[in-house]
Amino acid sequence: MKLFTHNMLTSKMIKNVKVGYPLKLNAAEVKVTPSEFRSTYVSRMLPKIDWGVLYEATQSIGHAEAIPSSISDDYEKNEDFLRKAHHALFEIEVINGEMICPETGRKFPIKDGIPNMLVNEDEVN
Amino acid sequence: METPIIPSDTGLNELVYEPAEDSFLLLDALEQDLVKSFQGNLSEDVVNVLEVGCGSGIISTAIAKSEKLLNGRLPCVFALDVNPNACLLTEKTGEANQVATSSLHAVLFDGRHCSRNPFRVQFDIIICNPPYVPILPGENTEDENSGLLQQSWDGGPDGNRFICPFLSNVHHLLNDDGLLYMLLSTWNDPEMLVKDVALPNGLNGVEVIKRTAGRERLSVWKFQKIGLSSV
Repeated sequence: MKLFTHNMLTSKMIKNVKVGYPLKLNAAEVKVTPSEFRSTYVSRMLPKIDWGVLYEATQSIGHAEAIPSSISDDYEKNEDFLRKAHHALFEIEVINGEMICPETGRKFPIKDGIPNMLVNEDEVN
Repeated sequence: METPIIPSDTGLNELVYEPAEDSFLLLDALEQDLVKSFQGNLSEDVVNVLEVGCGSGIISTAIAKSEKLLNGRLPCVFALDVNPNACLLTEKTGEANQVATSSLHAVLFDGRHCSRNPFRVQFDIIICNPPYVPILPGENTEDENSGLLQQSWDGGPDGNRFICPFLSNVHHLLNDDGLLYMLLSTWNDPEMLVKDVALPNGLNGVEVIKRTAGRERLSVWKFQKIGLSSV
């Protein structure tokens, strides 16, 4: 699971959960897989990203130096910054671990790089 | 749109729904309709795409490479399935077809449970080839290991056990001007679903393509939020 996915997922589908975001991230196994950098894609994705949550995620899984704590103002023209953002969003992967709902403590396992967001019927209705 | 190749050396293929007539009809529908729907669309934003029930990943992979159909806008696809093997195979299918790993993301999730959105964003395009085959209890039951595979096509006694809750709730995931493409069979009574399930939940449905495949008559329907449709 890439940190981009963590940035987008919530536990809001569980009943009585108000925000369910961000999910606390615990990583048991992390892998870095280089992938094709497309500056346009990263640049157009950044408005959708919660940068603070991405920064916290990099801190919590041992990649504290990956990105600066705040987003660059001129990121569209700043290739160095976009490459760092690409690395943090799409190259650092949690292979095994878990995400935890901030309100209920409900755990969502991550196994073989796939986040398991399955919930039981009685948790949603 | 190129038809993606499913890698055969993954050890997962027998555990996941293999693309069939329904998958290919959905691909054809998307190829025809997305071009029309995105023509003249001048936004440069990334297109948020969600596939519910990705199976082998054939459709998610095709869409992840479909910026030509989207007037040059770049797609970002989330692929959901209840079968972990389908999630794994989808990522492998993406790789085998040179999809950028930043464009395709698999998540284990049941599409019936979307009465509240598990994502922080809503989607511009949602695609679903649901389990739609009517199966009576006890009929056609396979052993326990094939249970997840059966979930990919078993639609319960009336064929609509997945479709009804999904169609009732999917508006929570759809952008105001978003498009939902869904494959249905005559078994599901599409006209009834449009009138009695989609409409009361604020969605208009129109048929975009149909085809007879053996004893099935399949069709793909496009749903949009009422009053906000730009197409």
